[in-house]
Amino acid sequence: MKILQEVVVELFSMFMADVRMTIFTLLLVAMAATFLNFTSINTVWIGAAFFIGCLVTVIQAVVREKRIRAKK
Amino acid sequence: MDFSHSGVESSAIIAAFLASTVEVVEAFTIVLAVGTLRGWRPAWIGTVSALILLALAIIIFGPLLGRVPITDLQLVVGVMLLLFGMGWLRKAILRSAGVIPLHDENKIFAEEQATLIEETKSKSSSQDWIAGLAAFKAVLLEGLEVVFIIIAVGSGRNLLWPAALGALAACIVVLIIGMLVHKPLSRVPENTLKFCVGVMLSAFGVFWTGEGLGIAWPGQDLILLFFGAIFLGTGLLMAYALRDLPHSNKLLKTMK
Repeated sequence: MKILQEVVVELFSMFMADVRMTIFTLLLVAMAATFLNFTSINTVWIGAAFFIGCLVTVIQAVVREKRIRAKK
Repeated sequence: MDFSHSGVESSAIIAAFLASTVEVVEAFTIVLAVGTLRGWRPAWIGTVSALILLALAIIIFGPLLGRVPITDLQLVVGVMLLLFGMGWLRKAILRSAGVIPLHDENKIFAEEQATLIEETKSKSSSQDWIAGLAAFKAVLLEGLEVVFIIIAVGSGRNLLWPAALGALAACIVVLIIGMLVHKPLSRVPENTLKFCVGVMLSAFGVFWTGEGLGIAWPGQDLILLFFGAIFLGTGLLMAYALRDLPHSNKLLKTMK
């Protein structure tokens, strides 16, 4: 039972290493899907915005972690 | 386009190989700790049992992937790759910048041996059983990540076999080197590998999520190179900027 629990924790931590980063990424996907389905904006622009959003999310997650550790 | 087959295929193999190397090295450290402390029999039993369980999971769940429509599969796998890849990239940048410590196989080896000694002292059950269970857990948990990487990298374009070959090659290389040196593989540049894999998986993630959503990427598969280059450049810049240099604090203030 303990092994099963550890497997679940491992699977969970694979995608939730940083909860805020995970939420932002999922929000980006949801926003891209919304714009693709409900607007007539060229898909390339939506793709570019999505890619830039991912980059900003990584940068933000790294800077936040550095700031948290610098405070300790 | 030539790149669409050979390029993506070789990228899938390289990504699976590098990512699997990281995971197999981690599992090898624990199995080695078990083997040198309690003998190789429990270490092998634990390892083989975990590999059988992982193989069963692939045999049972693998064929189900073929029934999912390719765009849905690309979207789900793309999002998972993004989360996984960006997580690795974030950690690799933080380690390169010295914000969090590097992975130390020698330290993990010593800790695992200490834990095993403690557990065998405190429990009345067979010491070999406890040792075998430790090897089983290590191979199962690290193996799960390898299985995910193979599925994620391979399923988007029917590249499961090339990705699996990449992972198998990593297992063989690590095992051969491990048997030769017979100590933790602490000289493997784990963070550099993690950095590369984070970049590749993030690039694949953006690409497949976009394809799954219906984005027509300019240049088709070639854009993967562009995504990879930008993720790599950004990661290296971040690692440089956040090292314990005087200007890193300024950067933090400007981003508040």
